Amino acid sequence: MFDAFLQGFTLVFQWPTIGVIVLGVAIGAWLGAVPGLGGIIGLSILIPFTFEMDPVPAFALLLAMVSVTATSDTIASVLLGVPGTAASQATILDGHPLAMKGEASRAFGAAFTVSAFGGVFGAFILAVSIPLVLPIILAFNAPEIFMLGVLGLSMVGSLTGGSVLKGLAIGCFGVVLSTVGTGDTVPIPRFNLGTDYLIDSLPFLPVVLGIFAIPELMELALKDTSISRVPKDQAKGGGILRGIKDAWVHKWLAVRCAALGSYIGILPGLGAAIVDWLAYGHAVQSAKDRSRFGQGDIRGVIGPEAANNATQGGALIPAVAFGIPGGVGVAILLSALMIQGLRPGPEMLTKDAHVTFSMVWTIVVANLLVAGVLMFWSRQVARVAFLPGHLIVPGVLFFVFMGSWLGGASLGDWVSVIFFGILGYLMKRSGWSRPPLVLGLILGDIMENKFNIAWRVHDGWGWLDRPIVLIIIALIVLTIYLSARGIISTRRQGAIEQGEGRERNPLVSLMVTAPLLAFFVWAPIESAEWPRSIRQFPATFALPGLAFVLLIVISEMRAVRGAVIEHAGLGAAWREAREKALLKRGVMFFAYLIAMVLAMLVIGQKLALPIFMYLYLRRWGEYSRRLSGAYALAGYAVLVVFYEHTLHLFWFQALLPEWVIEVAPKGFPTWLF
Amino acid sequence: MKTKTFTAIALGVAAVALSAPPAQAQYFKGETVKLIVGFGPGGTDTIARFLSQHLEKHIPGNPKVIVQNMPGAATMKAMNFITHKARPDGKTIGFNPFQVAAQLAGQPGMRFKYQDLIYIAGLQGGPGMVLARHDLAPGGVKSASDLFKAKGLKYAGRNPIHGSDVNAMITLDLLGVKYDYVSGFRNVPSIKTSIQAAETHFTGFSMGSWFKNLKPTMADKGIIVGLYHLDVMDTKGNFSPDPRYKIPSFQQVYKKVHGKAPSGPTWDAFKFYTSVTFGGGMRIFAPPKTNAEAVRDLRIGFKNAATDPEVLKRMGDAIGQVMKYIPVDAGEKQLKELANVDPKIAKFWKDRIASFQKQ
Repeated sequence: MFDAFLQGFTLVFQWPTIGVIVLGVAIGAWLGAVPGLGGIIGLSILIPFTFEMDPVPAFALLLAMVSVTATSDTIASVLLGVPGTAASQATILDGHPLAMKGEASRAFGAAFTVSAFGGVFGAFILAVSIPLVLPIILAFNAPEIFMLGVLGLSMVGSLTGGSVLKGLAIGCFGVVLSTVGTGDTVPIPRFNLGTDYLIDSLPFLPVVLGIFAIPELMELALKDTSISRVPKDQAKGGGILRGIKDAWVHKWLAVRCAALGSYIGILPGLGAAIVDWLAYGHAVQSAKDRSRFGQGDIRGVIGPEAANNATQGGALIPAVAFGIPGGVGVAILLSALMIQGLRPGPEMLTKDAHVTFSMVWTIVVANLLVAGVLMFWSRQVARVAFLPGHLIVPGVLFFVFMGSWLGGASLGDWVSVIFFGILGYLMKRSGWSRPPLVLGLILGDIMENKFNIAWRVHDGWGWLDRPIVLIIIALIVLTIYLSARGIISTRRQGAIEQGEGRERNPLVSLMVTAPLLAFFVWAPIESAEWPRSIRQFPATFALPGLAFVLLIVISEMRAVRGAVIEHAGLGAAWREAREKALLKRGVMFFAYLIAMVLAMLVIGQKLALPIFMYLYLRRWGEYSRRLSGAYALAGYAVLVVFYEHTLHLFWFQALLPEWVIEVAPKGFPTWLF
Repeated sequence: MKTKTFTAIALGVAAVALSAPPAQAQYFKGETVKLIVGFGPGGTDTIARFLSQHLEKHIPGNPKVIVQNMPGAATMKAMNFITHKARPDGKTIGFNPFQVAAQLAGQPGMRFKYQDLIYIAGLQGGPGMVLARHDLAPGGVKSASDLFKAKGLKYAGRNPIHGSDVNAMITLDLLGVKYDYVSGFRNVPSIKTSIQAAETHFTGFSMGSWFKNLKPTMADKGIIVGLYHLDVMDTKGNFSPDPRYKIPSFQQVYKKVHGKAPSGPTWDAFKFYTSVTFGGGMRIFAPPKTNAEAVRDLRIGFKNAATDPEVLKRMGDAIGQVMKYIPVDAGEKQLKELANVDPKIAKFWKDRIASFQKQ
């Protein structure tokens, strides 16, 4: 075994493999940093090129690219409050507040250090625990995975910021949303509003980008500020070195979270998407002083970042050794490796162990390399935080809209991103924590699937007495107890109107509560006729959701009455609420976005997006024609070169481009439109 | 310059008209053909990705061929897109399993009929097979008849219209095996883990999954056994066992258990299903009204790629089985049969699939 370990090492450092790793790292670093792109898109770009390559460099290219996205995705999470990929959603909770305090460099220093550590540690922990991998996978059947989902959901308590009721209600909403589309057991489309767009599921990217990115960008646009609210010369203690020191101080947290990440990565179906939330929850619960979480506590960055890189190695070993991939990314990777001639099976741990170890080494090298490079650059990258917000908004919006489009290549994606953008904005402005929605959306899907299987296999609830299930139940009880204690102690310290889910504005909050109430009433009615296996789950979560919302309505009506009395009249109270939430300019912002989408229907995406960028810079940022024009042209170039010629996107079939294709002579570059 | 191009095209068309190989085919030159796969990674996606590299060499004009995933609703999302949204220029075509059961059952969300699309090519998969855990009966399961001794059997499946489940469950019903259908598994690995953990007991798989994944990791270790494979139907409608499997065929097993050949309405429905699908595999469809030149070149490209000995040699390694090319006339004949299905058989399938959905 040790021979194979060394042989794998030499394989990796041979030419061209090492060169290919550098290339993979460069591509992966970029894809991870841009919101809406990520490893899976990278795989679809790179796989065709690997057909002509030898197996080891081919594996190395793909693996290096995929494994570093979980490091570079921190950049968007910290700077923009937008998850760079699904793996770094939890990082935004404390990473972005750090950037707002002018401490982006510090967050990067800590994140890149623990990412590199997590990646290396995760790879090795798996290399050592290979004999345990299969027993673990086989011990976690449908009931256990379902209960792990419940455990994940119980983390909602640590993510709710101010109001627990609101967190629970929005978590239920996320779970019900996860059931949109065709059920697994009976192929009948659910809640699809008669559209093809929702026939499979509500795509994940438009929801996440809409709910997180749009509100943060609006913040920059409406308040005319830079990401860092603190000017550069006043920002203190934000250096990279301080971040690296932070990582050292909290090394045991990083070790625990990396171990958590690599073992959760083994479990098929849970994968990278949930690991960062579990790690964040763990960071909060294991901390003595929790009052800083959500407002820039470095531990909130260290936990998830150590875990999400460790997951990559964790997901790989069961894929090559047993043909059981842990998540979508690994599944694509596996299918690409199989075309290359890889045979997943026990030989990968015996006869071909050197190939498996060359993969482990690739992950190690790629992780170290990317951390070094990003560390070196992070001073420059962190400067973005001090740029005027108006320069950032159109560029990021561009990637947000194009990233959403990758969800389903449908107009519905743009409708979704705006819809969830509006929802996210209202939620942010009125004390609704957003992470529970995403958590519900991710977990709901897996939980329903596993619940149905558990139900059929064990004829109902027969699985409740399984030992691992009982252990997880105990963990759930403990989690809820710890969160409850945390919330009570935070409350004693007095209300903080900062951080996720803490802003108070009852009148604006009603604009979230009312549609949510309608949704929870509609969902059970809509699902009444469906077969049990696809009705049970959404109905089970809609009913408590309804109860929570009703309780919220009661408490909010009381708060509204208080506000009306305080301002001597509803009109005055409303004016105050509107002012506080910047509603007027907010409406204007969305009017711009909607106008852009409407224009897109006529002139197509390749023209509508650059025109929007130009107009935004001229009207909101008051920049010169030259700068705005150059910015917009750059956007157009990215659309044509990257999205058209590299990704081969399906564009919206708008009137103008369709007409051009109709009338253009053969050989005319129709892709310009 | 323009006249020159025009002349070149005209010459190209003329060359084709003279039925010479289209040496100067221009239609796809410099273009990109997208194969739309209605699943995520694995299975169909792997087959499409494997073939895409060879199609580039074989489609006249050597276009770039890329695979795009549009997963959802058991390929309905991708095929609805091909039917209603894809431009009929041959540059966007569907590469998916043939979900005939969905059409027979009148699947909600399915907004097309296969016979309305343009047939490009078909790839006949190796016949499906049924496997079970070895320890289901005392002394170990050796053949399908041992299943009669076991109680509380759970069949791990995907959904009632999935080809592997349709084939496996109808043959189990014909044999008279009693079982519960646990649907909702999403892919080969999840079914595999469930069976390995003894959570469920048996299932139906495609030949590719068996040879590439299950046999080396589970059957060779004695955890599972292959019970039978489905007989292959040729273009004339005759059944025969597939020599690639070392396990008996369904009809051999049936004769051993019941002492006669299968018959009756369930058998007729199964025979019809097999005759219009050849048991499964992939179908490549272009949108209705696709440009004739494009259709011609795509058909040539798929035929040449799928019959190229070099490709076939590598296919076994890459996807676990060698798929057989189904020519255009045979494929179109199947579509005609499907369009003119006997109402009694259509009703059988509709009722059968509805009965699973009630569970």
